[in-house]
Amino acid sequence: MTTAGWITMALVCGYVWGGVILLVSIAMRSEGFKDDEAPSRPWEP
Amino acid sequence: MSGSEGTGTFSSRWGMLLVMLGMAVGTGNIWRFPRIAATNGGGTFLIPWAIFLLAWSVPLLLVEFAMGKAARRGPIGAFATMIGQSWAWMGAWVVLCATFIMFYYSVVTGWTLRYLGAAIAGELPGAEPGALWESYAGSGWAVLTMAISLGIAVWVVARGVRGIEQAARILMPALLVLVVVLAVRAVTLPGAERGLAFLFTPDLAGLGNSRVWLEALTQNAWDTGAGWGLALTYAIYMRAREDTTVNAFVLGFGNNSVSLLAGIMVLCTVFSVRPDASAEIVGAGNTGLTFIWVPQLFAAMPAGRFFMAAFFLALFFAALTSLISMVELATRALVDRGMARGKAILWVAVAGFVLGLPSALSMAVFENQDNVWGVGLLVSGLFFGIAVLRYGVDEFRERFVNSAGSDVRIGRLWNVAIWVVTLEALVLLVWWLSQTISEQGWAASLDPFARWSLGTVLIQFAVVLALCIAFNRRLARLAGSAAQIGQRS
Repeated sequence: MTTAGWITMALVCGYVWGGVILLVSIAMRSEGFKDDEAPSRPWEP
Repeated sequence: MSGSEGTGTFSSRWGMLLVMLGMAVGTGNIWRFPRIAATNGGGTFLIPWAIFLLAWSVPLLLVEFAMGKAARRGPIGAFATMIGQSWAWMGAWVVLCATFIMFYYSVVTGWTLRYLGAAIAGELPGAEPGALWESYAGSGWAVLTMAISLGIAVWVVARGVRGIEQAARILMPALLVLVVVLAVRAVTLPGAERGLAFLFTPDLAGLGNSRVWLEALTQNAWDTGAGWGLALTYAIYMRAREDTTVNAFVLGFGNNSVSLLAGIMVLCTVFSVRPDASAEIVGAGNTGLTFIWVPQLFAAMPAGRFFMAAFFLALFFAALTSLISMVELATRALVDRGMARGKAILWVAVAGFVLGLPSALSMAVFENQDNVWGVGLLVSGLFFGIAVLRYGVDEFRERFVNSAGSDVRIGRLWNVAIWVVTLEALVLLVWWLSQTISEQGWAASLDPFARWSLGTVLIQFAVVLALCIAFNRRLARLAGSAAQIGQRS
């Protein structure tokens, strides 16, 4: 495989798979701070 | 009363995400992505494909999450309550488009089930390549497998949202493990690096080809489920405190991660086992690649029977979880109209079987429906963009996206994304029109009875749109008052 191929592979796989790992870690971290009492319908008082 | 009362919510964020991922990951990831990537320049295709993940899929998924969670109703009710009752017909289009896809997608799910059975029983690849496909497609056996697949999906949906979640908790991890195992097996085959080189080596000159960009957008539109109304339907059952933004991003990136694994799995296998016939294999179409070539490829590798069964099991799980979401969408549309859930599921099951029969028995009907409603999804995506623009992009974002429970705040860049999505849908529709006319000529393209013509698409669109608009008032009647969610006048 050419250098351009390796670079594209690293960028695309890093972007897609790295993105999932990053996003799931954000979700896991924030999940512990959630309050069950938050309103389900934000337009209601 | 909340629209979600009596039907429950997902038990956890992870359960919800698995259900959503099950909806998004389907045959489009496993059989369409590798073929489209291979026929559009491999690495060249991946660049616009990665861009459109953020410029089409994620913004639309975000809109669907926000609309479903806010309205707590299916697409008809969500459109009517958010932008006004006179727009309920747009939601009806979204529902009908996804439901027409359900009618033939149950056939596809049946095919994967038949081939799973054949792979386990050692019937594949058979003495004559493609012989099983020739005798099976369009036969009574295709009706039987379609009925079994639809029956399983209906059974899962009948168990409610927790039943759907339980199914996803089993099927999705199993699917992900199977895809990873198959991808690892593929990259460790001798000569697999040729497949990797083909998939990842870019030709920067190819980026000037508009077709590559449009195919990349179309692939994102079709394999993430963005703009289908399915994510909106599942978002009805999100917990009150649930985030929308990060979840929509996880879904988009998670879906495309599976596509990338499937691309590696299929292309490394092709280039390792049959490098001499690689162009013919990837150019054989979805069914040709999957049901004729894949059995031959797996049969030629060590432990091929095991990996062939694993491939068709993954394909069946992917198709089944997507079919479940389509059955739920159609059911929810009837429940929103006031029908009891049990009765609604029965109606969907009967209609799904009867209206799926033509596609099960005739490949011509199947291909026609696949063509017509595939284009219909672009119209659905356009309607979601229009809904947000009509509501007010800033107010929609602040009220429904950056709402309580949101993990992150979305800024004004999202406003740009919504405009871009709407323009993309319009550009894609115009491109499809011009492409069809230039390829078929005016006379042939207007033939309403041809399988692939512009005429067959337009006439079916016209009938469905006319029905949606004619029954708009009745559709909107039970959708609820627009004032409930602060609709802008």
